[in-house]
Amino acid sequence: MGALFNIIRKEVKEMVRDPRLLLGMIIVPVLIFPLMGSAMTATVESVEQSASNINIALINNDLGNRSAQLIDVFNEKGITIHDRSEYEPEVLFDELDPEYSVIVVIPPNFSFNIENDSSVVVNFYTVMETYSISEEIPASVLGSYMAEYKQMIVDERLTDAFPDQEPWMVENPILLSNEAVIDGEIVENVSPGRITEQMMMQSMMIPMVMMMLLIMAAQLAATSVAMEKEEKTLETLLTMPVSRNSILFGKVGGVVVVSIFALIAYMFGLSYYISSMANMSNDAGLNLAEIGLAPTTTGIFLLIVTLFLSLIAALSVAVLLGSLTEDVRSAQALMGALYVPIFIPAIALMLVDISQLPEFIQGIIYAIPFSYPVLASKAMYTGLYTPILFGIVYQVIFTIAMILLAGKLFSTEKILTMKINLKNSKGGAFPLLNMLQGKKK
Amino acid sequence: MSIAVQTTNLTKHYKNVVALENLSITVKEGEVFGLIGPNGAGKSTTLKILTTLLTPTSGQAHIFGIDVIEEPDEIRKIISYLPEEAGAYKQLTGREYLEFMAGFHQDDGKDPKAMVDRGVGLAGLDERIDDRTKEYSKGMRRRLLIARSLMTIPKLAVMDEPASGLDVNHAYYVRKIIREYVENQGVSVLLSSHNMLEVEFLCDRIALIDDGRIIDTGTPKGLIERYDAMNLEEVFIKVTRGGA
Repeated sequence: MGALFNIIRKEVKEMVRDPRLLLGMIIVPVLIFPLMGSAMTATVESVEQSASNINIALINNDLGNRSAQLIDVFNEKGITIHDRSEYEPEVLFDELDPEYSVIVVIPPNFSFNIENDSSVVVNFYTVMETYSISEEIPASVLGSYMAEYKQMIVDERLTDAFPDQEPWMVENPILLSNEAVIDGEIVENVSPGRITEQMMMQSMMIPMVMMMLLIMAAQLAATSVAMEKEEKTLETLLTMPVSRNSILFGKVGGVVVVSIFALIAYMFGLSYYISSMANMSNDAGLNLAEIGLAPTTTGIFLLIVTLFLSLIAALSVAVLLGSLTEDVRSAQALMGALYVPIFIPAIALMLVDISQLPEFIQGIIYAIPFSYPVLASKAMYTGLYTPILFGIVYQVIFTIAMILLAGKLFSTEKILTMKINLKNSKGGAFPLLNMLQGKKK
Repeated sequence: MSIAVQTTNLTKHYKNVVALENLSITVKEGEVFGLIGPNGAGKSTTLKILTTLLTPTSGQAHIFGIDVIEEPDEIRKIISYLPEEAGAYKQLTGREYLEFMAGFHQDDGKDPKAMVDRGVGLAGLDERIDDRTKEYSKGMRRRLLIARSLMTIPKLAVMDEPASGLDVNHAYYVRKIIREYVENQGVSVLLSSHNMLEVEFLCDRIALIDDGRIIDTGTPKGLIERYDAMNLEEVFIKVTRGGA
């Protein structure tokens, strides 16, 4: 045990001290979510800023009461209006004062047409320069105020035509109530769409964190083994009075320790990101627990087990692949092969349920050991644990097989003689051939 | 005096390449034995088989009576190995590197702290021992590695080109501590070298090796006389070109 901890301690020290590993594989991925969250918050603030501070250039060609009414609506909403009625709009396009967000042109027949139950066109002109969302927002906000005014006119017309009816009843002969039913109970005023939206938000979190964590951990493990070869420390280590399995488990253990810290940091980062996203939405947020959709304790336990087994499986594969290469760059290139099975289930199951996929794709997903944390994250809510329990058995078998394979490689001279070099194409055109032949050192 | 190393008809084939062919050597306890030969002669392969890194195609090897092929775990407890192109972990300090390596010997009942103190003294790097090894020159790193291989007081130290590529000062230091350590601690040493000066200075006996075979064995002085040569370099040239 002493030798195992000795290796784990050394591995952690090396990973934490190596700026390349620390920055590229731990700090940047950990910071990416908070940075994304901050960027989102900044975007929202900028959008809110442009929505709350609208300046318009108004060209009012109408002399009636209706245009005065519309202007009153704009004034009530806090819009700053610059009267530029003496100009043609085209003049303002070229000499647009940067303070004007939108040029609004009310036509001469505005009041007349409204009074006579006809239609009229009001023009909004937004001069686009940066093509950003904040440039588009003022016209959208003005449009919504205009819609309020339009509704007022519609209501007036309906009251005139149907004096005995409420205008909204005339407008809505059929009203729809779309409510979700969970465990035989109606969830009042909550549509199925809102629940799936919220579930998706939560179920995206686990696959995303899992993908990033597995990739980071696998890269660390492969790099750690390949670095022993590149830095010529492996031969010395292999002649130390320590079992080859201790070396293997020590490397995996070191990465697991770092990964646990990274996982905690990822979760903090991601929850910051999610809360930034939630702040953006006007929806007050649906509390899934309150409507009977809280994850079960069994579900959470199964998720942790599948996630841990995925991590160990990914590390075993990474150590195995790292052992086959001669240098860090080749190891990292070879790790690309591991990303595909990590990405496929995470992305596919983020969007649809496995039952909706064709059987062939379902088979592939069940065959990938890294699918089960994603499946478990859904089973936490659905309670369908059977596939997850089978998955755990499968993950254990897969992981043991990988560890035995890596242990076998470590216990023979192949760990020194077998190598794949992806750094240059010279001789690397047939890397698998070289690997199978066990190139002579 | 017992036998430190005994190989019998040691053979190693890599696919179609013959790296070693029926190599038999005997190293006595407490002596410094050198394997001398050109590049690709089989020196490193021999050392790697004896240090349990490679498995021979056929033949036998024993270190202090322990079978290298059958009991590699026991062999690793009594040897230390210094590869020709060895590195130290760049992110560790020299002292941490020695502590890490000493940590593997605590189950043997040896005192790791005493080992590290000994290693620090052997490396002779003064306060630089607490710098990270990535800041070391090649010579400093080699001194650290030599210290690592001797600090455990192994029964057999196996060294592949111990002073290769070092400047005169570092090379002199490395040879001096090996020689002193052998005399003071009774450690047996099996080394390989290209450097004839190093061989004459360090080795009690040498084996000339070419194409995976032993050509001749003897003391440096005895071989010089046998081949009527001025020095070992001349012996080496005569033997490897067949001019003896």
